[in-house]
Amino acid sequence: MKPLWENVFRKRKGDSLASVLKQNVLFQDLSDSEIRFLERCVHLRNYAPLEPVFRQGEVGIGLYLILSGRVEISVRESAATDGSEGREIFVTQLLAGDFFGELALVEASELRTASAVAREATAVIGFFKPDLQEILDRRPTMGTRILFRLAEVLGRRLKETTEKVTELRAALREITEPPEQERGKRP
Amino acid sequence: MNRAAKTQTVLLLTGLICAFAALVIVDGLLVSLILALVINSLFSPIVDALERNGMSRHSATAVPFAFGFLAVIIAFTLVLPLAIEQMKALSANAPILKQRWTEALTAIEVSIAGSLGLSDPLDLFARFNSWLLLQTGQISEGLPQVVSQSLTVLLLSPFFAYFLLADGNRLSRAILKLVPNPYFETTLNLKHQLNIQLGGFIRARLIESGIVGVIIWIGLSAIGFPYTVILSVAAAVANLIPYVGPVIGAIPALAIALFSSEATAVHGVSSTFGLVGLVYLIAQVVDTVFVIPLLVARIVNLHPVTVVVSILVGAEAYGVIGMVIAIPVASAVKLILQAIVPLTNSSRPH
Repeated sequence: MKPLWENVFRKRKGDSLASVLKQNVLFQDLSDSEIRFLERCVHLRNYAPLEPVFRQGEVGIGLYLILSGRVEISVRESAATDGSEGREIFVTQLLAGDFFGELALVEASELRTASAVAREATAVIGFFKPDLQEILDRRPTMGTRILFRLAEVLGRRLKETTEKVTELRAALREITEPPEQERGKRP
Repeated sequence: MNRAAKTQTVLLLTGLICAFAALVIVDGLLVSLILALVINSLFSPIVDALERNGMSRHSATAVPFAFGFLAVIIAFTLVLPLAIEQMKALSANAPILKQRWTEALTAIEVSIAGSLGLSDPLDLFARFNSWLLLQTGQISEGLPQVVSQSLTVLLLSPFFAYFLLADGNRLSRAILKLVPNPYFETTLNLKHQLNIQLGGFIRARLIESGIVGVIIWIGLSAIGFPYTVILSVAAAVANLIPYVGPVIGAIPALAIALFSSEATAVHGVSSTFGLVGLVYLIAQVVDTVFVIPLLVARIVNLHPVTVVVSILVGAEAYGVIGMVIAIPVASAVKLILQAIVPLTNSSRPH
């Protein structure tokens, strides 16, 4: 079974910033001039091995697209009743071409629901709410195209989540409720 | 924080300290930059709208500047001579106004002292007069510096504003590049929030003051009151100060209505005073009922006590200018604190 966070939108990698952006599902509808405009809007960031890109519970305002390197996504369990910190649960590992944190682009609460840590020297492209807002202000058609693709990605993530929840519910039912035949045999 | 991040932080802080020192040391640079930011806030929606309609960023930036220069030329050729003429007339009437003002205040002072049973006069007017002389003396002493600074500001601020509008994003991205990774998103978010809140606030207050100024100009002209241009400009500028601004703006007109025979020649003292008061009241009602709820209230959400304290602190530090900039500064401080508090919470060890 694929991990929930595994990126199904990953595409083949290129060298330049423009080609990486163009290959990403969010920006695939943009023209060459729009991609050039986008290049001036995004932020290039470099992370050392084991350096957090963001931590769960921090304010987050956008997504990261991996240019090179590896990023591990993990979720911290809720704090235990004795007050000790919850365990870090590995969710997935993302590679060049993958993106994460896209929910923060549209979410109002702005708090990260997972942590992202660079597992090796990693370069990422940051695309944040202010950048999207700037595009919508200056090039609304281009902004709408990005938003449409973003809605598609978020919809697909939601569908995947619903499927996983259904699977888990069914598995839970199997564990907690014994089959009809077994129930019939009970005295 | 790793070594690279530490180096980045040191570089950024050094750069910021140098920039701040340059702003403080070089005459007129800080004012030019503030004015450029005001122009930037005022023009940026227009530039964005033009760019949305297919113009390049530089051409879109040039359009409001062209109209702005045209407006300045019109103001200099049409409004300024009128304002100078009215200023001269007011200066000519000043001794008479001062004499009547002195008489009226002395009479009030004597009656207060009498009713309180005080043997010594309160000397209120003498104190007020010496304070006024001190203020005007300070202004005239600093006038040559103000004029030379104004020229620098007039030349530099449009230049800075054009650069900020056309290429400001490149500059802010270059600065953001120096921000260490742990603070990057917070800094970007803070910059965005400050842009939205302060930009909106500056635009809203300028439009609001403009509307108040125009209403007062129309109203005073309609009742045949003199000095309409300077009084409406004074009211518009004073209106930038929350709460007390409208009162400060109304005082000169009400004083003229009481003590100037020229102003009261048509309607008489009490009617003129009432009419002038009504004009300022209408302007404030329009401002409070229509303009503030539509433009200002939703932008800056400060507690009234914070507003009053900020104005008092601003007045104590920088006088009238301090009162005008008190609210934007208080809003900026509030936003910065809102951004820093979650950061300090999240930096606790997990």
